[in-house]
Amino acid sequence: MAREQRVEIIKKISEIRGSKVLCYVTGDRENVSTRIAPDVTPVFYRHLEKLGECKQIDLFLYTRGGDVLTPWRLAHLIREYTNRFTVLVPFRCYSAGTLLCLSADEIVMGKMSELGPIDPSVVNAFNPQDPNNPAAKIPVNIEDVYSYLALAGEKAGVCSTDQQVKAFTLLAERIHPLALGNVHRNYLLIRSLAKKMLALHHLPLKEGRIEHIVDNLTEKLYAHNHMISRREAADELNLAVSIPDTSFEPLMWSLYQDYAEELALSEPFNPSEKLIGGKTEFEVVSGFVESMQGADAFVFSGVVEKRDFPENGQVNVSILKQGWKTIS
Amino acid sequence: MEESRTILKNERLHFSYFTDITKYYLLTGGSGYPLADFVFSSTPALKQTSFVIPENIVGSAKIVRDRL
Repeated sequence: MAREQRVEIIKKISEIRGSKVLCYVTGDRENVSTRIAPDVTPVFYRHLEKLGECKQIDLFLYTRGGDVLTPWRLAHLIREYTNRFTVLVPFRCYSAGTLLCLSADEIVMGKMSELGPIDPSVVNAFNPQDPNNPAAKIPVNIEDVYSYLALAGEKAGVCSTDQQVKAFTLLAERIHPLALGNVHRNYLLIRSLAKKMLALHHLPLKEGRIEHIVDNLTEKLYAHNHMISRREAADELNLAVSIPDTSFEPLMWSLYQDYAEELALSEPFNPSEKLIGGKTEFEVVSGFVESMQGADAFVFSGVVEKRDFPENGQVNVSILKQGWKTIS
Repeated sequence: MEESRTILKNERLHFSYFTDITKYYLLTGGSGYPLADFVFSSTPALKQTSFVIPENIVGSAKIVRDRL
């Protein structure tokens, strides 16, 4: 479907909810994925300025995650325009996306909706090198480091100070101390951020509920790719989940399907299909910020060219430009 | 170091990875998240701090691979 059809769905959602709707989709198409990152903030600002102040903003969100600091900035920006902020989750909304949900007064989740843990992996210049690729740094999962120390204490019987020092020294021999420092800083950061996001609610949460949610989302799910359904989100995590009725849920899903189709999320991006002759320029859209007032797309553009050296028939792909572009 | 490079054949386009279960992507401050197998000719993001990060391939497909 084209933008005109999507606007119709957005309009219906807006009428049913009595809100203004902003859609944010970070595509997870193989080879050209996008993620939540600070460069989207001015794009949100453009849309929010056009939408104006209102009693409720619904953010329609599909994402695999991204930068953990951006949700904090986006939540504050959205709340400059409304007292009531809600998130509509049609399908995947992982990691930084879940973090953004924490700041919402309501998270609308259908049968297919999925949230994820907020236990990020971190990387800096001191992270270990990937043995298979010297150019790459291996991310260190924060909870893995703390889990190792817990394992040493609980299972391996490391209890004396000497033994604790030994266990930590072993870790520091494998991971640079500054990378470990970065892990600890981010361990504190993610908990602090999650608590602050939950404190943004229009109606303050009861004492103890914030800690319960943060503990569960950071360390008690035990797997970064754990998919949290609406039942688990509501009953076990105690998040502010609401269930859409039978007429609203298909609307959310059809809007997601429209984006999935437009971004071709189910098929890998293969620029060689666009190759005509020896060299062809290409543009591919891999993310959207959209409202009734306009649309921005994240566009990768580049050149695909066929070379016969060093290997006959080799196709090279060069990305010349990438970024958000206003399309409507 | 001995390199165990695997080529995933996708018709005429070859994506080449150093292992058969890992892809590499470029982490920058921007939303763009393409694989590091792409060549960035003049992306301003590359002037910022950036890292190449490995990511495990998770999928149902069983891909036929040619080993070099």
